[in-house]
Amino acid sequence: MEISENERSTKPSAAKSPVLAAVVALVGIADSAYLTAKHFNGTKVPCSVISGCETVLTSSYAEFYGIPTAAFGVMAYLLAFSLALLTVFGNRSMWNAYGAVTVLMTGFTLWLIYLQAFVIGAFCQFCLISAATSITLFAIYIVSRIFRTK
Amino acid sequence: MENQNGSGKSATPFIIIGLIFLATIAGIWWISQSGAPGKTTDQNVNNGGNNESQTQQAIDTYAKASAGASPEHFKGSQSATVLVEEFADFQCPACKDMHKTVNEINAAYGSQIKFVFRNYPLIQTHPKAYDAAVAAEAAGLQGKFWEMQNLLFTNQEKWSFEPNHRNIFAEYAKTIGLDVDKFSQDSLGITAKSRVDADMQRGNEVGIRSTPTIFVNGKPIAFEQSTVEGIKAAIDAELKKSAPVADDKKPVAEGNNNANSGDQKKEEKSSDDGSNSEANTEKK
Repeated sequence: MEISENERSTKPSAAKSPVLAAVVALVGIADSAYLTAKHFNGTKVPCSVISGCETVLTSSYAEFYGIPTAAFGVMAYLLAFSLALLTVFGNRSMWNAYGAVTVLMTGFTLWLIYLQAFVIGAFCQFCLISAATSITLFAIYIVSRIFRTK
Repeated sequence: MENQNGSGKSATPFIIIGLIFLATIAGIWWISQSGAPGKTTDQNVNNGGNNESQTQQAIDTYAKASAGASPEHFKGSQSATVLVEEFADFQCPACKDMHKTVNEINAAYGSQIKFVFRNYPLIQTHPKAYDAAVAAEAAGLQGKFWEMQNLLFTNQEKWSFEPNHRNIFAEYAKTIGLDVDKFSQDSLGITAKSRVDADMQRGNEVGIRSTPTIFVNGKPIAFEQSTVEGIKAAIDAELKKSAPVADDKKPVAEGNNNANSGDQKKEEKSSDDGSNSEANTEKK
């Protein structure tokens, strides 16, 4: 879909990956921003038979040192977005920094999934969306590296 | 930090990043200020009275449902003409909030209403909610249902994620002065459990889709309207129906009547005759 695809045929994925990463990071920003806003809002949704309502978001893991967990997500996604965007605009060294950030994010995400599954005993829909975007960001980096080294 | 590789475009990414950053902050601020984030709530019983036939259908279903745990736990007056019934789950955060709302309602109306609490633990999503409901009923067997109910709601996040939640319930039992041994036995016994099961059965039959759900004289109140003001409006409408003459009888703030009070019986009876026919004509 990119016109520049032929020009950069030596590293096709490395060119497309940062664009994709920036888009996915935007999804992550929107999702975690929504969770952060809800944290400050305080209005609750009712619990239904199928959805896990706010069990997770009102748990003791919903904030660390008084800062909502989701706000850390917003910062991390903003950082990942910025680094991916800088890469898109030609600053290739930023791609490695992006990789480092996504490694940390994925680690944090796995821990949050563990908490939901084994400590809290409930999952939160928007938290799982965030987990998916974090892991996708990491996967994009890994894939871009694999294709580059070949 | 300047991007030199970008061949003249170096400012563009920073402008975009800045805009996204500002949009994010603005978005968070905007949603956190708005009353209700537009999240779907999946309530089939969700109607604010704008759909008459649906409301009537819900009232009919309500009337046909099984009785639930009997005798029920209630506050206010046994013979009050307005029945407020709540279905709640002790592990549900919105129910914790509703607990405060309902306390305000009970304080404001006292014996003008009958408030009934029903257990509706969502066992699929809340692993400890059923045990908590049983604990409340076990305390009820020693006459302290409301004390335990209050402790369970106010300390919700303290026991919800503890593997030894039963020990915590036993501590609460001690705090409110129960015979802890009897409480622990009752928590495992059939009596308390069958009360919870009866309430859940009633909940299923009246069509509970989510907790908390409040009914005022059989009419389900939409979650969005289940605020202190919203519930008061529904109660006032019912009070007006049942006693159109006594308009000056405004709700007076009274303390929580914990115990059953059959004292108001005569007073309520006198206004009953005119009210029923009035209510019937309204409905037709």
